[in-house]
Amino acid sequence: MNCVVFSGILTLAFGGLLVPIIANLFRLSREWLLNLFMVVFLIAGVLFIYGFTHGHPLYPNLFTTDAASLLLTVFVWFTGAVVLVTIYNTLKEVENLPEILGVYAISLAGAIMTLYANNFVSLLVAMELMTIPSYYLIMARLNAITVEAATKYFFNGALATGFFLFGILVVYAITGDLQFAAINKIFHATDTFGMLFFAFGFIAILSAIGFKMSFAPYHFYAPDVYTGAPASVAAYLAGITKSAVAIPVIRLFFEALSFQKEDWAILFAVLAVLTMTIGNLLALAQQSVARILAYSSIAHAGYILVGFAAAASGLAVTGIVYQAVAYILMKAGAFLIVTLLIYYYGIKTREELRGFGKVNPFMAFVFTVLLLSLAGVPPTAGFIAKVYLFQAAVDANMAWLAFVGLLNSAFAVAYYLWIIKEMYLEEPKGVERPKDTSFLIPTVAIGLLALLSVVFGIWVTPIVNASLAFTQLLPF
Amino acid sequence: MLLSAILLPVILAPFAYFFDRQAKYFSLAAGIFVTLIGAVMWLNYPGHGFAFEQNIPILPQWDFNLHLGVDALAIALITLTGIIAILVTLSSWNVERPGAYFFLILVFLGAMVGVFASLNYLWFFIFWEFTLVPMFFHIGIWGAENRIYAAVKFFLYTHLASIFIFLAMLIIYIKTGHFDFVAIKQANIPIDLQKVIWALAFIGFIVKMPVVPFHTWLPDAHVQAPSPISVILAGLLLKMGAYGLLRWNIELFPQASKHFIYLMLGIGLLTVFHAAFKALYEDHVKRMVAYSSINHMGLVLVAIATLTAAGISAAIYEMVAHALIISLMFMIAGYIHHITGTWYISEIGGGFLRRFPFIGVLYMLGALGALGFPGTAGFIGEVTAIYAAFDKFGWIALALPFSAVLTAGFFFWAIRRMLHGEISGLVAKLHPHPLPLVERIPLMAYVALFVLLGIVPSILFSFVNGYAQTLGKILGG
Repeated sequence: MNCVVFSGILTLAFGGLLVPIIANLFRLSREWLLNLFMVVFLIAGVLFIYGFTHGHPLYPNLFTTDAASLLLTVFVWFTGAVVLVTIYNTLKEVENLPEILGVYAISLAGAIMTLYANNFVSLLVAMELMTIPSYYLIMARLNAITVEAATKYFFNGALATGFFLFGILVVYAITGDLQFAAINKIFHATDTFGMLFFAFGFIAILSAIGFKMSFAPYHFYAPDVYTGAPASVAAYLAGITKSAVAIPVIRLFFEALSFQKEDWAILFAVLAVLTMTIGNLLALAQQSVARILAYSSIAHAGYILVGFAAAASGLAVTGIVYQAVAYILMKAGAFLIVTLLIYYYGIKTREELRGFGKVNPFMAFVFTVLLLSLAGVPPTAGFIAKVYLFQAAVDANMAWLAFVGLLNSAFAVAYYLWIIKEMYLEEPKGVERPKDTSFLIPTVAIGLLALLSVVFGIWVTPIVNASLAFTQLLPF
Repeated sequence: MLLSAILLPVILAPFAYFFDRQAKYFSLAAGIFVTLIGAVMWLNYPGHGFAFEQNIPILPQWDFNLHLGVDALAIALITLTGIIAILVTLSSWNVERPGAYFFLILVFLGAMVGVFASLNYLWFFIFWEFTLVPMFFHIGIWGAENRIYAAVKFFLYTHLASIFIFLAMLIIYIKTGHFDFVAIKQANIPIDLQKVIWALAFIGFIVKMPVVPFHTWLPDAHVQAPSPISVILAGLLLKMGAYGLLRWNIELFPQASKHFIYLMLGIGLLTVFHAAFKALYEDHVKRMVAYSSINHMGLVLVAIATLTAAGISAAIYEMVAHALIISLMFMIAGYIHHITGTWYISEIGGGFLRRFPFIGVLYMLGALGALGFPGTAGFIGEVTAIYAAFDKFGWIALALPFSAVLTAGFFFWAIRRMLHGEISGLVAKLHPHPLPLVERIPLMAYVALFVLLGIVPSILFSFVNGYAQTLGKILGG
């Protein structure tokens, strides 16, 4: 890992540790608490951007630095800051706000660290650093629902970690090495028994990743957790952590399994079809806006899997990276809007959204842009990501998979459009405007995410170049 | 130049939103600007190939460049877009919530010019898909009683169709490494694959046109949309389908096109007659016009199916004629509903013409145009299309005049029942409804334009002749 970036991650982690202590010690007001955190984020951000061009590698056996992870770092950091502002605004009255924000900053440091992992141990450590604080985040407001969500997330997470450890054990037992690239040795060295043994390990690792990225059949926890948690935390879980895991997973599968591409292509294709279809069909049946977004996040995990299935194509990595970037912006943005809807208006279901376009035109507009991006309507980043992903599928001789994916995304438009329909085409019924204008700052911040998802729907150069540089590091 | 015609409306759009009262002037200005650009290009077009090209590289290694360029077909349609935009703005002069309305009109206008001017498939698709968004809000917010159903159906139906174009585009890119029209045309794609691509994109384009059996979104969308938006749908959105078919299927894959002649002819004839019979059966003023519109687009498809120079210029002419005539009919149908409060001819009864001569006379003029009365553009369009079809297909084409008879049948019957006869109870009770001048101008402009085109068809024919000849030569050889 780049030492400058690493110091940025440390800034976030230690900021998360120290700021709550300082805040409690000096009895800082809530505004000062946010200001301090903003300073921490700002320093970290400067370091992340400085790290693009400066710094020498650190711990080369555990972490690697490449263009895609640097790029994702900036997006995770920026979106993370927007999430921070929204958490602050919507959990203001919670007593232990300093700790919540601190834990959130530590978790975000873990998410950024995950991007750089190229070793099973570092991946495990980074993912745990990201996940364990989030159990606390889910319970930011202590009540039966959040505790249920946190428990679900905790047990699933613990199970996933167990599986992951078992997988690592198998890999280590066969190869004596924990680098991703080491798995390749398996195919040179082992006999049939070793391969069978490895298959168990591989499935264990895949299951753990399936949990983190919530693809079928490991998706069951996702809707409950994302709707049970405060929506701003769900924005972090669904939007940021899932994309953060995608990058090391690219490294893992493309680097480690490059010999067996054809074999696992079909497995990923089947998983992709399952995940997309389950996510979209169940999303269609939902009433709660947060639940629709939760199921749509499962469907989006399916689109990423299309990229893994199409690994034989040189376009696949670009597709996955683009989808990861677009997904951070639009999914986190959409969940943050849901946060504001619940907090300021008490709107939870589609029907309560009726006529919202007249109640708060700005927020409705931002939400619409984000939903259109999720639906993949041009000119948005979500559209370009789909072009790349399905292009890769066609390139890998899986035009059928591209067609299924396109069909899925066409049906997905129905539920996004339904929300837009409720907001603009129906008459409002009894939703009142909030008394103050404190919703404005978070809305503008989320508006920036929406703006970025349109900008990167046209100006594709930086993301594509970063992913191409990334692709060249992978064995093809 | 082309870029400014796309960007200016889009840049003006937020201003229109925030300056509610001045919104219509922004829209008018953008419409005039696009028309002027169209006129300038029309006069300076060198006669062959793509002109006024602009290439804005965004990601050259992925061939994602905003490559703009126009030929006679595109210039004709861009000019039409500008004119329709002006007339629609005038017709919507006193619309409710003008800020949002003209914001969407302006965004739509930019995307529309983009569709006709893009020579990059991906950009074409981006503009193509984006046009759905403003139309969705237009139908859904300003539409009639069943507007929400119509808006959602319109969006989902045409979006679902677009995935076939999307897939065709992806296959082209994977096989050639290009999105660019010129580069794809020079690339060597095996004929079997060409056929697959052709068929996929064809599905997407004919849904937009629309032709049987994918036309069912149109009557709903048209009937529920406010009249000016019906004009945009009929005048511009349907042209996108025919344009896409000509540009991205027939011009790009002339060899593959020849394998689909009889498919196109069959679907075209089916559309012509299905729509004519449906219209004959229809009692709903606007739905009748919508079916007449489908009927005309079927004729356009038959003319395209000939794959000859005569057929293609007839198709382009018929596209423009249809835009002017059907737009007038939709406006009039909207006014009739507005005045009488009912959509149904049988409920209106008779004697409408005597009470409301202006609207009534315009309805008759529009009907004459739609059924192809000599002296109107409809006549020239129909005659040239039938001539081209006869030249190519022989006696099968003689079925087409019968559809003209059917069209005459339902329009004359409607005129007889609604406009003439004893003044019915409903009509007698109606208050006089003087139209403001600003709303009369577009109505008379449509009549003036289609009569002008009907008397001097060479304005358009001589302009698109070069395009049609070149394409006909490629298709013939």
